Amino acid sequence: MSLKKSSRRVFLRQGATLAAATAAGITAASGQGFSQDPKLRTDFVPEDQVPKDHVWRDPWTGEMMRDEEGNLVVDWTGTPQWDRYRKNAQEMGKGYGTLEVDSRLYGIRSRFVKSYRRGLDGGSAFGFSGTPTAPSANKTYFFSLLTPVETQLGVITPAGLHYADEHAEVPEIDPRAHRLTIFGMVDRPITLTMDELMDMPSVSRIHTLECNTNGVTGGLRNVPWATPGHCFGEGSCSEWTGVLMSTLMDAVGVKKEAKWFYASAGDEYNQTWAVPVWKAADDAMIAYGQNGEPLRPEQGFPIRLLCPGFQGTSNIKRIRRIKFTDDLTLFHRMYEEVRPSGKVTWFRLEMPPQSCILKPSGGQKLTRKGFYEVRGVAWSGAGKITRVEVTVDGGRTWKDAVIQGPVNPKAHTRFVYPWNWNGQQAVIASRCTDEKGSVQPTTPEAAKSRGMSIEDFKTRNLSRNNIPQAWRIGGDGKVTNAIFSI
Amino acid sequence: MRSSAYKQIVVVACLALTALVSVRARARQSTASAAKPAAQASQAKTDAQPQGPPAGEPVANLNGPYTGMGTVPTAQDLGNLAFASGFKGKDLPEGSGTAKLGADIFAGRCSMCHGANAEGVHWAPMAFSPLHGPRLGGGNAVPSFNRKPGEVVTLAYSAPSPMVLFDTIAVEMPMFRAGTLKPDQIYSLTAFVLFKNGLVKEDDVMNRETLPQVKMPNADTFPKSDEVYMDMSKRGCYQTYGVCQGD
Repeated sequence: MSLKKSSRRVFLRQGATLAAATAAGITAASGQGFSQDPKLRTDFVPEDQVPKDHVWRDPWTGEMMRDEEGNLVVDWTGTPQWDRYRKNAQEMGKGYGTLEVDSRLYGIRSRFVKSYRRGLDGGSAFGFSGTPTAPSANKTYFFSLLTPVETQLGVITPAGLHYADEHAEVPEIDPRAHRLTIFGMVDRPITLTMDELMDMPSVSRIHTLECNTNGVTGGLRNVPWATPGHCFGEGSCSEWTGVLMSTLMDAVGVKKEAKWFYASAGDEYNQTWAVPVWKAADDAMIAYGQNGEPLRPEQGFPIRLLCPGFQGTSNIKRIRRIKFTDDLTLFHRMYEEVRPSGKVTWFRLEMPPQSCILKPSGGQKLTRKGFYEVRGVAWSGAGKITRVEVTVDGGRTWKDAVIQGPVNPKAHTRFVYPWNWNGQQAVIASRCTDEKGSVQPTTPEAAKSRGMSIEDFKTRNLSRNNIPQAWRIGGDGKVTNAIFSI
Repeated sequence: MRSSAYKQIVVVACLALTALVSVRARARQSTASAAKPAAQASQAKTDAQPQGPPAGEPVANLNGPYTGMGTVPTAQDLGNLAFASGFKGKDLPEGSGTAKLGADIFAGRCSMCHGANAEGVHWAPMAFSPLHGPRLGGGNAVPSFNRKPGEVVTLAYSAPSPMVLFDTIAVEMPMFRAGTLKPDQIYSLTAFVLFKNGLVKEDDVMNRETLPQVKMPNADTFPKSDEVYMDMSKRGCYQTYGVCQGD
């Protein structure tokens, strides 16, 4: 095994030497293959010439990082060697040697791709608990960093564009010092290190995470210049890796009488939610991975609770403690909701079915008549999407769109609909149905079900408003927001 | 100028935090040997627990195949979440407090965000101050869909139980030092917030017996039982549009 591996490494190194030697116009000196002396390579920099302030440091010891062969781990950006490389590469002609940043250790996007998160929160701002202290040029205050969902291709949101709704400064938590404690109505209360947690049986699943106010009407979703990112910027979809709560429940022996668990963060605010135990037994998980790498700090590094389909605030970031109990309570920011009847509901938990056409959508422009593929995403907190319909005539007729699998429960689901634009004004929209049979209502239907007049319905801030998101395509091809038109 | 002042605040806060952590670590070391197993202590009131290994020691065996994992939680591991309880207040800690005592604690630990008189603090434009907190006192209306001008709903007025205040203060407050309050302080601050909304008298003693008895003005607008949340299909959430309209 190790023999095989090392001979492969030698082979690769020889290959690299060959390539470097050829590029540099050097003929191999030895008659029996290529020299293994790195000094004969044009790219090799001896350790004493490596600028030490460009070597990555171990986060705990501060020591210079080395790989398994003992080589220094170097980001060459800004070093004389990197400048020399670029100069050499530029000799090859136009378009070569343009990389200012050494992106080999951790890649970067093309400089032609500029999708970005809108809004003010996350990172170092304070959301609606406090002052956004990080500088911002935004005139309209909004309490989240919104994902630009219209730029998303496929169903996975890149971690760097995942929406973030933070209630205090994002802390950097040392995973070696962090613990997960499970106690309350259990046989064996336990405190686990992150290493121990990651040794437990694991799963990796694709799920949507969305704020209770994702798609809320009355704010950004109502403005004429709204894009899908303004309407559904508080929803993102990732592959989450972690330990199912049901596994942890089995391990600690949760008592039969337990009905709720309190999930509590370990940071400067300790956000806490009470969640029904049936959710833990079903598909909730303690996630430590997102899209193939550890969670980012703004997503709860080192671990977070994931309650697929439930409103975002119950998905406790930086989760530190779980207490099983038979006693419901409310913590701050557990949303109760007042209804026109005057009654208050503690919370609604599962998010309703929603969908949005991303192309063409608000802010875009159709530049010619003819064929377009209408594409979008649909999702529901109750399970899988079973049907998506598209209208291109303002809701008079609806036709089935093609759902592209694999369809994951409680996850962004891609749909496409081939369409020929005739150059005339049109209002387009999508509506979806989930596996529980719930379907998105029209504006009059939704107003009626909430016991409100249509006028009242249109002017209020209503979360979980899952009317179809309509887009108006003008005769000039410009696409604008046509909310409430269907 | 502004940014350097802010930096200084942050640095001071960091130093304070570091000091706090090291003091706590020392306190933990000195009491570790005498400490009762916290997991047992917190549950002794409600369930009789079998004698297990002491706090900090490895858990003998988890259920199933999970051997060699985990330790018995210490008091620090449980934190103030150990006190968080539902409306009956079954896990409330020993201790007590009054609004009068709470006023001093509030001035020192809460007023910078919630205002000297619990009226709340909103940031000034470009102030670059991290301090902001909602109004806590002076509530005079139950939450309603069509609120009239002048009606003020505070957390005390939108909570179905005084435990909501206690749990929130115990676990989530004060911001940036969450979970550091001691039981007597939590009782006193809960009493203070209730008093500021006219729900208890200034000298009323709040403890594990009296606090759950405080009647909240908005209690009756909530569902009477949590049973509705045990089965989503019974809530009417899946009817037609997937948006729960019932409890």
